Amino acid sequence: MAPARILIVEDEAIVAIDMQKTFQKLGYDVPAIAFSGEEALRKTEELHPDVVLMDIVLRGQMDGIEAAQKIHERFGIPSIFMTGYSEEIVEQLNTGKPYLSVIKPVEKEKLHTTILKALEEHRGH
Amino acid sequence: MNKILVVDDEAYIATMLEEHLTSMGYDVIGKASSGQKSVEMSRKLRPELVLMDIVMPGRLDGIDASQIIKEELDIPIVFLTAYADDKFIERAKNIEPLGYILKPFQKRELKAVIEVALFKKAAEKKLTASLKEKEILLKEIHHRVKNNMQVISSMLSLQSQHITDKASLAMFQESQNRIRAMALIHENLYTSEDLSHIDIASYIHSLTHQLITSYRTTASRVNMDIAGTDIFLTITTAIPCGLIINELVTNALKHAFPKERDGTITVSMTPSTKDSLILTVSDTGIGFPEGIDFRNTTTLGMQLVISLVEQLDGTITLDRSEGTTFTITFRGGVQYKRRDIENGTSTDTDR
Repeated sequence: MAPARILIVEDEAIVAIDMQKTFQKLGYDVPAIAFSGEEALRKTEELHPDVVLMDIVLRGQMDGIEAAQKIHERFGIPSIFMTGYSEEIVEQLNTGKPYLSVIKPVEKEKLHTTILKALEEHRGH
Repeated sequence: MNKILVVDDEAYIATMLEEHLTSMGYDVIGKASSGQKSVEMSRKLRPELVLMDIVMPGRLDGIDASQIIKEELDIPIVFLTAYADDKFIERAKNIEPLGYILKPFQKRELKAVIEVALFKKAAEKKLTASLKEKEILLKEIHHRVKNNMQVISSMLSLQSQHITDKASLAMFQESQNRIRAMALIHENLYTSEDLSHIDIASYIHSLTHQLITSYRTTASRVNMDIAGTDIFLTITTAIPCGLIINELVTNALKHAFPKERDGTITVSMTPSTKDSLILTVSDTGIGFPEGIDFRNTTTLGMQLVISLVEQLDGTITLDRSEGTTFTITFRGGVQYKRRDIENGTSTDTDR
């Protein structure tokens, strides 16, 4: 099976590059970075990632939660939220399915299982 | 034209007031003859000020009605009454009216009180808006600081990808963890309710999560136990505390569990006596090496801990009887908040 293709959405360029390199090292296909919700929509349409790794707080008109909802509606692609918050707070975020979240800094195993879970749940939809 | 609601059970007084007010250039948008009616009309007509009689028939008197109007709609009240008994004044002042006029009144007096009241209300609104604006600004600053620190951390991470030497790589990793320990404080701050206090238990959870991620191999066989009551620290205390916890937990993960040894690392912060807190970081590992004075080590981590404890104006002790236990007590007017779980509000506690 080909490695999962990930689109990273993160508005700090240097943080985004760091993540891109880290995930590439972990064996994922990370072809692009989007810096805003609007750009995330464009790049999702263009690249058809398997999953979108989304920062919640984004510059611009759209926040991560809204962008994830639009991506799901338009392209049926699941998003995983990345956040620095503790697990408790993530649960309270009430982002609703089909969204999952991982806590920054992202653990390799945790990310892997979350991506698999996102893809699986997505297929079930 | 300022919209005013007149409330008086005597129809002729209400009419006279309407005439006066209209001649002064105000817009009397309604006349209510009871407390209950004044609440209903205020909800519907949204006046900018209510001129309220106190003694009226019905379930609500003027003070009861004012309380509802003020709390629910934030409309200022000016009382106009024939009564100046202490019991009325006592009740009336609790709803913070912007005026209290005694009947019989003079027309000029009425105008002066209303003008002052409207001006005060406008000033209060401006103040509230400016406070809100400052709050947003403060939030943005914490967010910005956190982001900048994350950028620094990522730069170190990117740079370290070119390092092959293991010892240098570890130094980069440790530097990154220190920056993240600080970044997390700012992240916790801008998501906190009052933007100035950090929930230390929640912070310790996120911080240890970071460290577990960095030291996966050891962390997989070590339990992390966090005991925290509801303690809230200000940024001045939280940053050194966070860095101390970061160093001590890192030390435990690096040194206390060699080979395949398993065990537990415990971090706890509890209130002690008046204005002091006790931070304990302990592990059930092999123990801090005998013959080494922890106050005089060559390792950067322990040197940072000792300096930061000094900065907190605190004391540190080491107990080697069972594994390693560092106990840090710090004083110096530490502010913390205790959450009142029963009624769900936060109150400042000065202990």
